[in-house]
Amino acid sequence: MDRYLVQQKKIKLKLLLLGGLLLISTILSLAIGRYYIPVDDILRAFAGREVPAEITQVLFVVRLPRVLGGLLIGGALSMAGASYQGMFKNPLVSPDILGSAAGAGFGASLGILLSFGAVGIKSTSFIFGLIAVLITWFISTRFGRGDDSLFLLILGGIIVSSLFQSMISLIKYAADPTDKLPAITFWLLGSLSKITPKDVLLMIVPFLLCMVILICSASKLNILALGEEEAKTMGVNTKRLQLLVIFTATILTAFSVSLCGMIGWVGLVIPHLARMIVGPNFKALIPASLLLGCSYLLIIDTACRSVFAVEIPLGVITSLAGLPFFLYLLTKKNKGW
Amino acid sequence: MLLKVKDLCCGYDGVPVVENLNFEMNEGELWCILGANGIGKSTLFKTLLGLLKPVSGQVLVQDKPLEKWSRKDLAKVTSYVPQSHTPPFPFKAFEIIVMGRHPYQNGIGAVREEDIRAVQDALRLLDIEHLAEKNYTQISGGERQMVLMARAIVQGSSLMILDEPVSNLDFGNHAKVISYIRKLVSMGKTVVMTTHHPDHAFIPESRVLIMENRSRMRVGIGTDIVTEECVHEMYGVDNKILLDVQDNRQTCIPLY
Repeated sequence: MDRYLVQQKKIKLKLLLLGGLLLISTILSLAIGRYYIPVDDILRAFAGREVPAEITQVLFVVRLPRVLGGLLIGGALSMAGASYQGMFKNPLVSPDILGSAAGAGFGASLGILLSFGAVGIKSTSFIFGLIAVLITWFISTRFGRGDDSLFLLILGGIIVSSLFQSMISLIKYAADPTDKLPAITFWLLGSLSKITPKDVLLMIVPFLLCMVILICSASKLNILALGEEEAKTMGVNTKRLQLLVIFTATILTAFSVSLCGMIGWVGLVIPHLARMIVGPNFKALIPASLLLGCSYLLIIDTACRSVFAVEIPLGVITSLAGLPFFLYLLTKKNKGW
Repeated sequence: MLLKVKDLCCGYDGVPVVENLNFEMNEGELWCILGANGIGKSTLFKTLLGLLKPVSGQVLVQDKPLEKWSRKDLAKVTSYVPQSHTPPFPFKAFEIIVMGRHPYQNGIGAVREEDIRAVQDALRLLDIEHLAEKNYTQISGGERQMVLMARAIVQGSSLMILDEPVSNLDFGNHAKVISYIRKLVSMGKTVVMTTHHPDHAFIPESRVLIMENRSRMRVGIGTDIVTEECVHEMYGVDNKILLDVQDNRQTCIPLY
């Protein structure tokens, strides 16, 4: 069993390396952009030393909120995806499975249509994200019983997602094609450019709270991944755990979508990649997904805003980069997920 | 008394599948539950494990009604070994087994030294130390069954409920699993298993619960109550029960 301890050490080392990757991608994301900031200036600015005012301005007002936002959202979506995959015993589940992303998208479109301000749009979006999952939950408890509750949750999620998707289409149809329609379309494509320092501050507390809850539930998620009844016979309160996971994953997803629009594939692909690196044990998988998700979104966002002359919507690139990457994972790994 | 079932009716949504069950199980007993497909063996298991509310009647675990037990405390007394399955994620056998320690761990489920020791002991008891580092999804059905049994052992429960433990196993693994089950019984555990082999009723000192139909069952020592008529009644097949005089062992063969 020494081998177990050795393995644990290896996993810790890998998590440390992923942490290092995150640190490097954070610094590079702060440096790279239309206006290049040298790395030593960044370090000097963070150490509180004298740097040109221009650099301080770009670094702390423009870039830092965006980088922190990307970090939080990438981490949030990946953690939510990883824990849903465990709860639904299915490696193909992503964080929007219960309709939170569609609901939040609808909320934002509604906010834009009704000319709410930036804060109003984000709040209605978040609230509709929660409402969507509540409807899904209601459907599953109202019509499901015992064994098929997970199945009904997924079915409910599909129903609610398509309901909100069609309502988004309806709003788009009703929206003024000169200004509102492009705004809605652009919003739905997903971008980190709308993030303000206030958003970041607002998100940090719920993010950390959900992170702690999910990391503390990891060992129970392992057991739940074997099946609900089996988990019960091992002493797990499965109903409470499922509610906790749904609650945290919904908060994380709705927050992310309300701040930056639909960003696909992160919550599906990153947990897979993390599983390839640290294995399927959720105790390592959740932190690994978190760290990788943060880095992934930062790298993609940095590419989005600096590779081309015009900024490409983030959601487009995460899907475009995610697809071939996912195919690659499929071909590479045949021995389980 | 480990388990007492009084006038138990179990079923779904208030509709009984099995009725009027009465039996008692004590420490160190081997129980085989025999009955045709669909007779309600799984329903009974689910009820005994507290996964399904009884329609009426009572289940007492260590003289305390089942509904008064918390999940965690119940898991320390009863454990469940499902038919070997394939989980969607490639956990290591060690990781699967250590999950059985959950009722003893704190909230975040940190694996402590005593948990590792419990797993080691179980691996040694079942002679499967070589499986610890293997992927549970990639080992054979027989090996998976052993891993699940190891998990039930580290759970430290005195009542182990096994769902058709030999259903998909080859001849050798079948015999092996049964011999380990007997080892557990000799250590004082009570093992309850469902089975489709009448022969299991003839395992020395094995007790049987025969489910003939919804409301008729028989309880007793296997060699006493499993007769040719009884097997015919259960499965509708002509059969012969033979006795090996040398070892005093009986076996049931179907007459095709």
